[in-house]
Amino acid sequence: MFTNFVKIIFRNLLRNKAFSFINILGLSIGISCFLILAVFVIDEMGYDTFNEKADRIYRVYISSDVNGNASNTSKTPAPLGSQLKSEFPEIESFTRLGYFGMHELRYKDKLFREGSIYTADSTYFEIFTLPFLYGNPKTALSKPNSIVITEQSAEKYFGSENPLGKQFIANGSMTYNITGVMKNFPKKSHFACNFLLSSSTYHETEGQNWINNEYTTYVLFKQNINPAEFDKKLERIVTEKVFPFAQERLGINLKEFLAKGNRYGYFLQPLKSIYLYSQAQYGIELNTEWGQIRNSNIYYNYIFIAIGVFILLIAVFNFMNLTTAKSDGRAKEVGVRKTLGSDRSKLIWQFITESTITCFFSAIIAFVLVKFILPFFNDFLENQKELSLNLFDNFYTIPILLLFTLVVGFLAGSYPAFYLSSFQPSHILKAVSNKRKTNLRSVLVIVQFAISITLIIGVVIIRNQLDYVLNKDLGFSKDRLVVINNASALGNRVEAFKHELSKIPNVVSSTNSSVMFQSGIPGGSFQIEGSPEEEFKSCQFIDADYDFARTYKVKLVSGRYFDENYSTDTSAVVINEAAARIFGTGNPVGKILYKVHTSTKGVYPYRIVGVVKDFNYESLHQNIRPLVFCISHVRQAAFFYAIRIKSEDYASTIKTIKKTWGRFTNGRELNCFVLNEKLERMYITEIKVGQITTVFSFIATFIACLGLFGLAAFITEKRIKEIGIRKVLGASIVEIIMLLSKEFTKWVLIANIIAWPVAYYVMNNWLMNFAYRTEISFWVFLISGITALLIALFTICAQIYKAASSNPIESLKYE
Amino acid sequence: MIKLLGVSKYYQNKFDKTYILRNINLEIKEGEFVSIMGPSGAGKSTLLYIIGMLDSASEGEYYFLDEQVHKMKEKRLTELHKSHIGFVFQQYHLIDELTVYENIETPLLYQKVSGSERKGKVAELLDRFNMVAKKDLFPNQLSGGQQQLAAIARAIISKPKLILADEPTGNLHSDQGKEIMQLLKKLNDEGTTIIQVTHSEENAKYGNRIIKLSDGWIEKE
Repeated sequence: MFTNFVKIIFRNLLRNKAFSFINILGLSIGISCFLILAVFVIDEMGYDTFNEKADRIYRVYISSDVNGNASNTSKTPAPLGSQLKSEFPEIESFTRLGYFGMHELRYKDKLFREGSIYTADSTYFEIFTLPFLYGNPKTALSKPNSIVITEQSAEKYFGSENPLGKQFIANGSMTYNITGVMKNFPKKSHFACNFLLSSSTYHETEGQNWINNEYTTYVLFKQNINPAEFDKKLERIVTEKVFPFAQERLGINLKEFLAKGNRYGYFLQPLKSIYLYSQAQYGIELNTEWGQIRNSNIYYNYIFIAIGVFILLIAVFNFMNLTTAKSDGRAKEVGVRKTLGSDRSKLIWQFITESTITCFFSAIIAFVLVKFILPFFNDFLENQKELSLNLFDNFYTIPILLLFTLVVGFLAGSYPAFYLSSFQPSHILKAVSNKRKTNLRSVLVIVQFAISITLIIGVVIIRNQLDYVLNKDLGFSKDRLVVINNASALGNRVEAFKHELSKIPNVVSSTNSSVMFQSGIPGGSFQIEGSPEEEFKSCQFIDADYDFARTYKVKLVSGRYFDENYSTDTSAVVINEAAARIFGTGNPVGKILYKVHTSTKGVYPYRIVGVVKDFNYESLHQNIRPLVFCISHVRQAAFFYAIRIKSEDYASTIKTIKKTWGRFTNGRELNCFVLNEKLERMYITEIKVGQITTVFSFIATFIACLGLFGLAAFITEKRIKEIGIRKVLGASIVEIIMLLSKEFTKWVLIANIIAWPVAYYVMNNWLMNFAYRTEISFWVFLISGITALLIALFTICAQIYKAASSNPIESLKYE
Repeated sequence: MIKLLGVSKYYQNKFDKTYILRNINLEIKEGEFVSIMGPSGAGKSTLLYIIGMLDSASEGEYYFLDEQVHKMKEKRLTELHKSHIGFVFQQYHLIDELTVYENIETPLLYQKVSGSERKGKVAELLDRFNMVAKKDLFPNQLSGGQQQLAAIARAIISKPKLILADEPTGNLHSDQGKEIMQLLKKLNDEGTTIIQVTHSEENAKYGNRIIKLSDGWIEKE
């Protein structure tokens, strides 16, 4: 029986080559897209799972709302970890990560400034599963001045030598002992760095400051503990530790604090949620994450899953549509088989076998396609991921793929099977041409086009938004700026370097400041003269020099910018409009602004000398926040050196800058970039998502058209006699074309009605990720809809024209 | 063998019924060769399909080998018709995608006959019908007469008690038609009950009983 089916299937496939081609091609492309997106999403889901104890590891974060400033941060105070461990027996262990700025590391003649150097507690390797090449992970970080380096860094300094036991000279004076070489952090780790220094190297890490949040704290729970109930217990730490300290240092009283509607608390976040859910679910500000942390957003994975499923559905619908459209050809077979004694279930089984085998072919083709495409996809993702699809990596890959093929085959075959097997042989075999009209077929085409149109609208809106973001006036002049981001290598020669640069003809001016346009912009508490004592406000601050406003072309609203001619400016600040607004005291120029120093219990007074117009120093996902500029001599953190140049002759200007740089830094490497490119990188996720969506919406539309093409062929073939009669009766070609395309046009129009609200809802949600966004204009919908209609009509026009222009005698001659 | 009591067939339109068959009372004994005749649209084919259990009566009773067909479940119907009834059509209705051999074999597949037994039975029939040389050809490579031969071979492969033939020679020229009719006659002589629908008086002569239908009624015998 089975061989009989299989024979029929193969002969059918071969006989209707065009039909089989459309079916198999559509399904293969659909399955490929689905597989690629599935591989991507599965990879995203697997972050941090390499840790053997991943399920028991949690990160502590702080959720607060202080004086109307709500924020969630992943940074916690130094004493939190040990306090948790000593107070709660459920906690097996904890570890902290901290950052103390750049280090200059030297080994013999090799000297580099390293930014990717973090401090970690000795328990770090007990909690995280990070294998060592050399050294003992248990003791590697237990002593001060111990450093664990990655394989990659080991090669950079030591080549093929074993670095264990060797020493770095750090910052010219300290000695760091290399106590371990670990394998590089896995790509699927939310955190990665090149050096881990023992926490005990810095005495600050043992401090008891409860309001300076500067460390990431991870805790490891004992087996069989449910941390969900733990958030309540953490409240105790806040009331017993944080508030007494805050009262002492800042004069904040817990009762008054809460009475004003403020809140402040510690919460736990599972390790495995950090990569995908930190922003989407926990609302943790990206700005508070460490520089080298990787993060993504579950939201995009939802979008990708949806696109994958939709494309697969479009392909499956094609299969259903074409198979049922072709049913006239199969009806006879059904009738004959029934008279020969087949019951309905056998026919259903036959048709499902048929679709499953077709699907199996498509899956094989798709698998080869995916193998071929994935390397390019990895390139496209800038090698952030190593996506691959291998049959033998896991014991479950093959069964899952087979099951998937079966499910798709079953899905694609089910409707045709039930539809075809329901034919009454007495009707078919008496050659009564009864009109079997199926509404489902039109529903399927409508759904296909609704999906395509939604995707097209999505693509247009994403493109519009990116266009808007990349071209928006940011409040400063962003063109023709070159930025050196390792300017701290200049040390105290920065002023001399600046002077030397000013001699280059193409350089207009230059300025040194702390970082902007990336995460890690520091924040602090400020209080303006005349406000109640505990009425402090959070502002971010940027250290800048005298040329900042001139170089970035930031406009002043009132007062003035720092000026070297005023000697008192060393204790002056400039604020932005957003800051002026939250202090809310009219013109703030001339007023005193107190900076709250939590570490030394005290406030530092600064005089406000000017207010600058708001400008976007962060990505446009963020509204402009209150900002305070301090004039400062070069500090560790200040390494964002911007140079404004006259003409866009970047290459030769950078070459000249490089020469000057080399003279000042003993030939150190120059890390610089054109600011505009850096600004574009802030939206890299959106750009990539936009590109992926564009490609997949093309594919979706293509597969939908493929099906429409086949359907048009069948429908016109079926109506060829009707067309013949109409032409004999005097219908013109144009009238026939109108008649035939009417139905297709109707389908696409209905698809529009479905797609528009869906697209509006989804895209409106997406735009909420941006503080600055374009309006969704009605034209986007109209143009997308018309485009889809034109594509559909173009697809069917050849078939329809052929039918409409054929000689009616041909179709009527034979009965 | 076959007994129809007050069988009618109609289609329900919005307000009235369109009758195809009206109050048919008919008994056919085993071994008979019956010809159903009548003008187009008289209900001949419908009657044949009802007897063949491919269609059901709107009202009335139908007994086949003393079993109540009108009360039977679909499964039992399929069972009954696949083991006792063979069909021959005017348009042959071979499966285009299968060869002659495979077409003839198909009913046996539905009756779960073992592979070796199938081979023997198909070979025997091919031999009897002189079609051994044609066994690997597809239907569209055969003449009309040869296709009908193959269709008859397929109809009798499972040795049915009853063969229903719907104008079996309608699409054939007279020589081929004769050959087919002689074959049916021979099968009847061997004991198979045959009911054919035909327009041709000449073909009706091969049988031993004629039923005339007109406008859904049995006219006379």
